[in-house]
Amino acid sequence: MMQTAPNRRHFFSKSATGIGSAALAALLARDGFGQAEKPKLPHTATAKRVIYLFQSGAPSQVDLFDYKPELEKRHGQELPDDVRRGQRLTTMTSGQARFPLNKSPFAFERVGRSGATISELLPHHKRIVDDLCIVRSMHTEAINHDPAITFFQTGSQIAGRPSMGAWLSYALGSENENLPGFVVMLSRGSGRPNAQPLYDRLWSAGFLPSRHQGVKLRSHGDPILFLNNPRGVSHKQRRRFLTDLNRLNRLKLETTFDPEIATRIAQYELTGRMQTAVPEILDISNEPRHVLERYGPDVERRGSYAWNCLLARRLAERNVRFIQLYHIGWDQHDKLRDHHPKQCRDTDQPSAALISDLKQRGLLDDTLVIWGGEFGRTVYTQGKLDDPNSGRDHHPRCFSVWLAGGGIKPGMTYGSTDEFSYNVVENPVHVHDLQATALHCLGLDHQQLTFRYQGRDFRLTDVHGQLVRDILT
Amino acid sequence: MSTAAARAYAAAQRNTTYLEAARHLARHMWNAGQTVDQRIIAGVRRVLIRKPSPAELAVLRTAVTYHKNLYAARPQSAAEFLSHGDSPRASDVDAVEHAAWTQIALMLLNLDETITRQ
Repeated sequence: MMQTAPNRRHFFSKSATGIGSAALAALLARDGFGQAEKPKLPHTATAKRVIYLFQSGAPSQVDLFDYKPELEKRHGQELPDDVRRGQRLTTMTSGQARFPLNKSPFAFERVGRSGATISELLPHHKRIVDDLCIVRSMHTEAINHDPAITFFQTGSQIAGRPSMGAWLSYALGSENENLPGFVVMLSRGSGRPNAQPLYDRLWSAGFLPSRHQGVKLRSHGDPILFLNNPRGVSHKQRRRFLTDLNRLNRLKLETTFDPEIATRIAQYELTGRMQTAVPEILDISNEPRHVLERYGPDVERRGSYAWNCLLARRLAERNVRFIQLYHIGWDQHDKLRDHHPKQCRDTDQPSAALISDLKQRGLLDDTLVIWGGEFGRTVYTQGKLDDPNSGRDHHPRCFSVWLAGGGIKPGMTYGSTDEFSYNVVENPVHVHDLQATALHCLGLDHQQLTFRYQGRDFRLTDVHGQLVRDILT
Repeated sequence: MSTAAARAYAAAQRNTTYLEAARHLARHMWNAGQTVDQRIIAGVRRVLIRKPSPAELAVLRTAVTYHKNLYAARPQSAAEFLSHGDSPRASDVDAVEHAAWTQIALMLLNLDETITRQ
């Protein structure tokens, strides 16, 4: 990644000797070492950190947050052509002879003071609904999982750009020198355990310095591979080893000014400090019983969504900038009636517990929490109507997400879809709009947060993105 | 380099293959010279195809002393550190020396310059 700072390196390499130490100090400061000054933000931040509860596979909005009473009457009727308007479908259903409208098999209820209508599958969400801003008018451009998740994470469907957490780590730095600024945790859903895998590049730093890359805490074995000391090496000795190693790397840095050496030095130093910080994060033995119970029965099973939600709170308490969870298995092409409730059981209680736990500790005020998948699901059935084996296909035209805390208006529902939950009819929110709004909460202008790479400035929001002011406090 | 994760950095210091390779490199260094400097130079040449600078030599010399003293006080740790990997340890090098030099070899294998092709 030497392309990242060609001018600077060029300048230093051509400079007379003697500039060395001053230049090095500046380089280290810019890259986040030494006494780097606090970044100046274009406006006041309402959030210091983000917890992103990514529901991978795409949860069905029609069965969770986007209630459509009209479907009761129209169940089994063909999806009208003037609704579909010839829009593309995936090849998983484009060959179907019919596209019968399929009402949700689940009941809905108006809940909370805000009167949001949510599915019976989310009983614990009832408690927190007045803390949420439910956006029913999300839409995206991608129709398949990987490009759609990549789009959410990086602002581009094509892999290779920095992930949102890496952008924030780059822009705002870390507030905890013992933990990475961007931490990732995965859990498998019980609704569809063998669903699509997630690639590590989803939390990549792309062309940003690689120390902004997300660090995944593994769900079994060592949470971070090779973090423990090898046999025959004491903790003190390993620290000394890292110090010497960094001395040598620093000598090289002084002659080459390669920012990736600075990254490696920082990573080695972080590795040493994480040796104590990571086990402490995972040790939940001093969590009170009533807190554990709030997160539900899975909380003590490491690697479950509930466990990850509890860890997310612990990481938020320690000021980790971007905490990214993925819960896999929301891809209900078939067996919607069986699999969808299982996914909800995995996630409903822990998600609600996380919100109320953050709130009780005063952390919700400056933590932005985002819940949502990569697209929605079709209102027409995939497979035979009323067959328990049937499900719903991918649907990028509309879907629901929710946000909470960190400067987002609580207790509101934003945007709406037509009576078929097919097209957005009011206040559309594009993926880039959501990204722009999240950055805004962190005090960043999405048009100003740029990184020059291969001759042009890149942004998380590409050349798009409108701030959704209506949902801000 | 852009895709290397923190755990990958850590991996090279902890991975069995690296530890085992370092043990063999240490033996090469030991047998390639009579003095500390000669042995360090042999290692740097083997890994980086160049001589160490005086500043690098100074860091590595001090490190040799540190690890040697430590393992001399704890021979059991030296034996453990030399037990990584399947290949047998050659007994022509004293275990305390071998363990200390394995630390130096491991350091050389973990240098940015070693890992990155510039």
